[in-house]
Amino acid sequence: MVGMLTFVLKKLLIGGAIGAALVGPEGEVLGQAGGADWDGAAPLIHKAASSWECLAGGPGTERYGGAIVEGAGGSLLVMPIEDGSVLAVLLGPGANQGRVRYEMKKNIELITSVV
Amino acid sequence: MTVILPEGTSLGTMQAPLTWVFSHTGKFVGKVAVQVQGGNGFLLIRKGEEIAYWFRYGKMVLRGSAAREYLLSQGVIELTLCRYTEEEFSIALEWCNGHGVQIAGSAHAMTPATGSEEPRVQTQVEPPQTQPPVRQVPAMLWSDDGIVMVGRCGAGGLEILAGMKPADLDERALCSSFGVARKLADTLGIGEISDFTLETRSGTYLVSEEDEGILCLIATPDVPFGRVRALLQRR
Repeated sequence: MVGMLTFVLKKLLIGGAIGAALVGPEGEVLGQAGGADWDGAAPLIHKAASSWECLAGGPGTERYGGAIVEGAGGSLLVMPIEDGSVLAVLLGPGANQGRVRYEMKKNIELITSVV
Repeated sequence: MTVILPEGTSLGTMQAPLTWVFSHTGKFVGKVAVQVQGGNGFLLIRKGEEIAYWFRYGKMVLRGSAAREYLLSQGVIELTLCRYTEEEFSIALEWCNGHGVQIAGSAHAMTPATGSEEPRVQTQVEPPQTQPPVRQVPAMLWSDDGIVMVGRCGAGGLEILAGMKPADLDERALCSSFGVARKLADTLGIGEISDFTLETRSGTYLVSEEDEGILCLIATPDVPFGRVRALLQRR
């Protein structure tokens, strides 16, 4: 599964994206591609996703559609996957967010099927 | 066929004087449901213009200016803004016609100021007075259609700057969301964050840091994401 997942995650490394990861429902890294400290970020992404779910209507009631963290040196795009996992893509400065978001949405089903 | 007053899309409930409606509905089209002293009713608003009033307490019904005067006399009342589509607004006007409720600008025979459900005396009632808009500067800045709320998270919790707080808003999650995003940015090395955006089915949340705290903007899902960001950036 990991090999296939890495292959799919690599498809997201376009338009200035420098790393992609799938974070599991327990905050573990299920798969990654590109360069980023996903092991350090995964528990935080998991915690953040729980907080965002509360904001979106409460755990288990309504999942958020996506989140974007904009920084001076890049940005992070996050999208939830059906089983409680979270897809995260790290973008460098000046990256094409729209294109990466499109690819993430386009490949969500594929990633879900691989997981 | 019985016409049912449309529910509309609720934008949230708040407690405020009726005058709040006059100064915060410049681009709103819909019903403002009201509850006070065990009675309930509504007023119809079209882009800041008061179109119709109806209020019921037990078997007593107030319509038009009588309902307006009563609600104005009540100080703080419970208000729920329910946005209407044009079709829903037309149905609501039809409901008003069918229930003898005066409609501003119409040439129809007007309704009794007070009475039971059944119309009794037909009298001419002056059109409702439109209050001049009295907007605070921040509210004016954010008074675009589709913006549900603008608030600031500070030491004292969430302070509403414009719009209304959604009834089911998790204030704690909202106010902590920026801190969580900041930690993530630190860990991934993307530097100091400028803003954080969350898309949900009920709306888009845009959170940004400013000198006096965390600024939060909530927009309806139909507002394009780019426009939400532009609004925040032009503040």
